Amino acid sequence: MTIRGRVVITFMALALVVAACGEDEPAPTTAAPTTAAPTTTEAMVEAMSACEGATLSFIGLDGEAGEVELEAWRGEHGVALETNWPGSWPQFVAAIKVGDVYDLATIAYHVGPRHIEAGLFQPIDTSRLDNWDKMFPGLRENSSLRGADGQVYGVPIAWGDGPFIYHPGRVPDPPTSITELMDSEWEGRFTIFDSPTLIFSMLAIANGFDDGVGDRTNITTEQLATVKEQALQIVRNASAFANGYRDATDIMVAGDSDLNVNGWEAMLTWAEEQGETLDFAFFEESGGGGWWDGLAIPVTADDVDCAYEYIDLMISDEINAQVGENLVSGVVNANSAEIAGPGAQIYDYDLVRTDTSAVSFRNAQPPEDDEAPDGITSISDWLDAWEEIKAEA
Amino acid sequence: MTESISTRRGPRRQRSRPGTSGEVLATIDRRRRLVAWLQLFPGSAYFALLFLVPLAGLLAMSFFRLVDFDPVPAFVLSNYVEVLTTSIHVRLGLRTIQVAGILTVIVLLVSFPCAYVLNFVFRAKRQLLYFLILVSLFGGYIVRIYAWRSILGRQGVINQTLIGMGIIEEPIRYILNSMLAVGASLVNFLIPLGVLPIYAAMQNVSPHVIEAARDLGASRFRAARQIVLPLSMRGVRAATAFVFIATLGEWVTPRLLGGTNDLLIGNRIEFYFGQSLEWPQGAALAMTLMVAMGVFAYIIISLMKRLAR
Repeated sequence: MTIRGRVVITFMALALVVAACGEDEPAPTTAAPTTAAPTTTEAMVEAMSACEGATLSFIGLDGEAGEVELEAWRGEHGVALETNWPGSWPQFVAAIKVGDVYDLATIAYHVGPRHIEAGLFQPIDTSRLDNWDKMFPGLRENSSLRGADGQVYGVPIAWGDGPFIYHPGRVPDPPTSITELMDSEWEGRFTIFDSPTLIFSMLAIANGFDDGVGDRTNITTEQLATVKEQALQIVRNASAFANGYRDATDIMVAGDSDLNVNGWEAMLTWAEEQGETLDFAFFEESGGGGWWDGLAIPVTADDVDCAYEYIDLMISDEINAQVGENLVSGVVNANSAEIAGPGAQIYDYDLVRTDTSAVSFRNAQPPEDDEAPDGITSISDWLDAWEEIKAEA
Repeated sequence: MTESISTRRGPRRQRSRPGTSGEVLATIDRRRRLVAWLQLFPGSAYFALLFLVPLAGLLAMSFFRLVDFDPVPAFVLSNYVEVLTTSIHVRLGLRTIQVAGILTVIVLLVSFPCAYVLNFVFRAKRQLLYFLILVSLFGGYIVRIYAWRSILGRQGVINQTLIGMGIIEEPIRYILNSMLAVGASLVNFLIPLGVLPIYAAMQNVSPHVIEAARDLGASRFRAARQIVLPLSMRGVRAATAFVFIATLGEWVTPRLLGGTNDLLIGNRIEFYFGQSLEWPQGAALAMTLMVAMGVFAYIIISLMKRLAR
């Protein structure tokens, strides 16, 4: 073969390899398990399991499938757990939409309503979950778990509030309002996530367009125009879109940003592991607003009975306490809050203790397209405005 | 002799008679063709199954209607109308073309001399140098992007070197998360894609031709410009197409190295498929981009052909 021939063949082979390997995104918000799993209770061992010898296929965020917390239980019942993270939320949607079989999936607060609306999950029969009633009412009754039909589609396993994370050495006086980030002194100094929801809702509150109390952020088209103009300035000042909490932490540790707008307390732990000290605070507009991550049963699920059992275990007293500790997150089971470790104790459980406290744990998203009252902007309006901001920035 | 020549021209021109050597040769020729088709089959099947079929699906979806986030089979042109009339697409499209054009020029300006040196200056070491160029592809796409973060960041190699040399006191904040960072990373990624086709094309250029030009008084630069460049234009065109098309479809690098104002049209497609779940709209934009790629590649290559004449 001539040298030219070899060059062409090598080049084509490399092109194929590059095409196959080049489009992965780094996994976003993942929580590194930090504690070993304890032995499960005798009651759990003795109980007849619907999962006996089953293989449970999970698609979602690393660390949220009970990999560590239910390891012993899986061993006792011969259950195999296959975990998959397809690389990004778009690919997550695509994987279920194309009919890939998954028994369990992550349902994340910020994309959950869209995923429910998109028909990715089947309704949850909460009467099949023994531990459902132990869940804090502020989470259990929250509308963001529910679809337009009023049915529950997701079971929270962890939650948190909505702080911003900053580097105290470089930010001696942290901002008190998100509007401060419009000032030129913040240019190139902070990261944001590529999502309009929290920024728009906080700006709506800052402008007095929204009281921060209702379950959705309802603003008019004119108000959205004002919010958009301010958000444009914030996006222009931001140095980059962070690709998940880990990424935001790494960027801050590397010194390339001083603040991340939508943070997670776990970032402090991750930074500490790298020798950097970060801190968290709240914008006055954020209220007690927060997030939850949970488990859902995809419409493509093969072993629904086992999925129910697994979800129920994940919100049981002991296991959920471990989940909270390992994810540096709030627990969802009221009993778990009593026994959880320090990682799960940094949260204010009054935010979720009653169903009226769901007010603080509100869904800051605007109404879905078919729910928006006349004159009120919907999620599509917000997403379009966000895309226009990114094109203009 | 006559018979062997006619065989090379193909079996249809053969007048084979039963029991003659012509028939035997025709049979061998048929077998060769069969083997050739069989050799082509795996690649063609791979291409058809994993590229053409999904592409056809994407094309079909671009005409679908969206009902409750579900793409419903239909034949509507509204997705294309939306794509072509939305100002964001125009802005992002123009930005993308501009970036792709600039990067293509940069990559060609680097790749051509590189291929030239490889072929004509260090001929004895060219296998080693060729391997070194390939090695640069081994690192992995995402890994290299993160490496660029370490190089360009506030505490990165460049800033720390400049501070160490006393040129700056504070790190420059705008190297990372900028179009400069996106461009630097993409050029690094695309150079092998630029060098290899040009290198392959230059294999056809005899060093004796260059020697003759040099003997006649041409400088090395003139010999390269007036002799090597026209003779290796096919490789330059291929490199142009590779680099330009690869850049037009980029969305990961701007996402990880760019700032908030450095997104390209590929990020908009990602938005349709991921955030807004408007798959038909995303499919229409992807198809439009694909057609635009073809048109631009055709225009650029045609222009290059004219320039080479």
